[in-house]
Amino acid sequence: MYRKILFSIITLFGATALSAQQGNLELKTTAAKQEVVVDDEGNQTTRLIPVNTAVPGDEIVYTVTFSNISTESAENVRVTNPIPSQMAFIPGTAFGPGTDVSYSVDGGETFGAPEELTIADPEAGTRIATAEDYTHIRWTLKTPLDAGAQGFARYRARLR
Amino acid sequence: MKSVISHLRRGMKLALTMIVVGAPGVALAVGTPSGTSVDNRAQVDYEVNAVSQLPIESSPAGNSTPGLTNGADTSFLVDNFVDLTVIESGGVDTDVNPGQADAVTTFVVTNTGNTTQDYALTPTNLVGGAVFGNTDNIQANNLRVFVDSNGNGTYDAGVDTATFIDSLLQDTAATVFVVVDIPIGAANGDAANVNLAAVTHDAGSGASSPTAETAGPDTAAVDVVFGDAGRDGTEADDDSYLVTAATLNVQKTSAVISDPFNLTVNPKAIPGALMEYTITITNTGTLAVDSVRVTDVLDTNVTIALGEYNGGSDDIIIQLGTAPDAFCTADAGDLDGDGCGLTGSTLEVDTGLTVGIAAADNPATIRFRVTIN
Repeated sequence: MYRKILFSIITLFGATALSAQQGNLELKTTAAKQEVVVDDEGNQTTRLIPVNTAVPGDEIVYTVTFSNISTESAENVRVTNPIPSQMAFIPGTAFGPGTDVSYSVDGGETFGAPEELTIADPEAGTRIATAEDYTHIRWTLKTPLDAGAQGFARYRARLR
Repeated sequence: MKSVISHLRRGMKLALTMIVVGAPGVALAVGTPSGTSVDNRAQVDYEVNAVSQLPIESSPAGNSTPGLTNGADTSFLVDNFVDLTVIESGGVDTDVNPGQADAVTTFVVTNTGNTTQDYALTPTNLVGGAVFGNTDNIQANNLRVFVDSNGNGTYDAGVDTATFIDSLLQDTAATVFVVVDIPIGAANGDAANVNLAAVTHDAGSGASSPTAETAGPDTAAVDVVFGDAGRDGTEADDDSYLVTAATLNVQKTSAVISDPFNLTVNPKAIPGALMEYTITITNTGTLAVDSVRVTDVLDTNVTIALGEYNGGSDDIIIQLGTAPDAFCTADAGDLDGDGCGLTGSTLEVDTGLTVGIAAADNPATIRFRVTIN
């Protein structure tokens, strides 16, 4: 009963209240270790265990979940995640359903596809950037995120 | 390297085996220091009805309040990954002499973990077994261990006095000396093999508080994880002391030079004959021998013949290897101080002779003449 009333209030005042107090989207980041569980029949199941601590060399799975909690469609949604300086991005592990993935090597100023990114090299002039050079990853949704819809973006990195 | 936990799949009473993908312990030149908080915060930019909205940052539980700084980091801590190496330095045995004091072997202890650590050091005599091809057959005395205090890589007695490694930073190394005394009775080719073990202790504890691995599952605090071989925070290596004692072979021969009847033609060893003794000292060891002193007690039936060499002025010839002849006199009591002398019937040659192992100074030959009474 109380929930219904509360929901109604939000619905009534939602449009203006949300834009002032609350955004249209909710964003959540988790860090986890991937573990493979093998049962007696040899079937493998992958699961993610939230990580409290890790040692150098550990692989961490970062997952960013985004939800449209408003009643309006969100357009040109871009999720950007800075790779922690202690982490080395593992090439080819960034993905997100319905997104285009691009990378930055200049602290998030500009983004591009891996083959477009170059690093100034004192000797060779410029060189193609490697995964170690990436500072940020960006997922750009190909279509608007409808009201109530959600999605996720994910990558893996190794603790240096 | 985390503890493996058995899980049960819901509804199935099957024991499951868990494998951690991306096992840690991958050799890294520099590991992120333990205790580091690795922070991550994503951001979303978007438009509503073609109007750009304030960006929203992420939080571990989910954030929808727009504006930078309104999110929160998703973080984890870096564990204390304990790893070290102990490596004998040089890759060869250490040559020693019988009775040598403070014979040194050198090791390098490297902290390859991600935390500053102390290390306790324990030298032990190995019994049997081969190191560098040397089979251990004797035991060194008075084993001690010292840490190189000034980084010169050389044991300085009285200067390098620390017996444990204090607060070794990650990715740094300390040179450690094992110092022993070699038994006087050791023979050429004997080997005393030793082992140095380094045990990880908490930094600043004076190597008194052993670092212990965190038991059980991953905790929210910084865990201690052993990543070294054997996963015990202890590493060791061996070295060998090889005894290279000098070994001298002494031979004495005689020849008749002349007799009163045949003179020098087919002389015979008859009373009044002149004989020449040759003492040959050959160094068959691997080290030069110095201060060689030769004494020869003359038989009562012979008397030393004086003035036989060097134009009548000397009594003894000393030849070292291929070097030219040297001479000295067999005067009573060595009053002339040339190292050669006669005391009663004992002839002594003590000229500070060094018999090496090269052909130029090996063997040493001493010749003198006597007459048969």
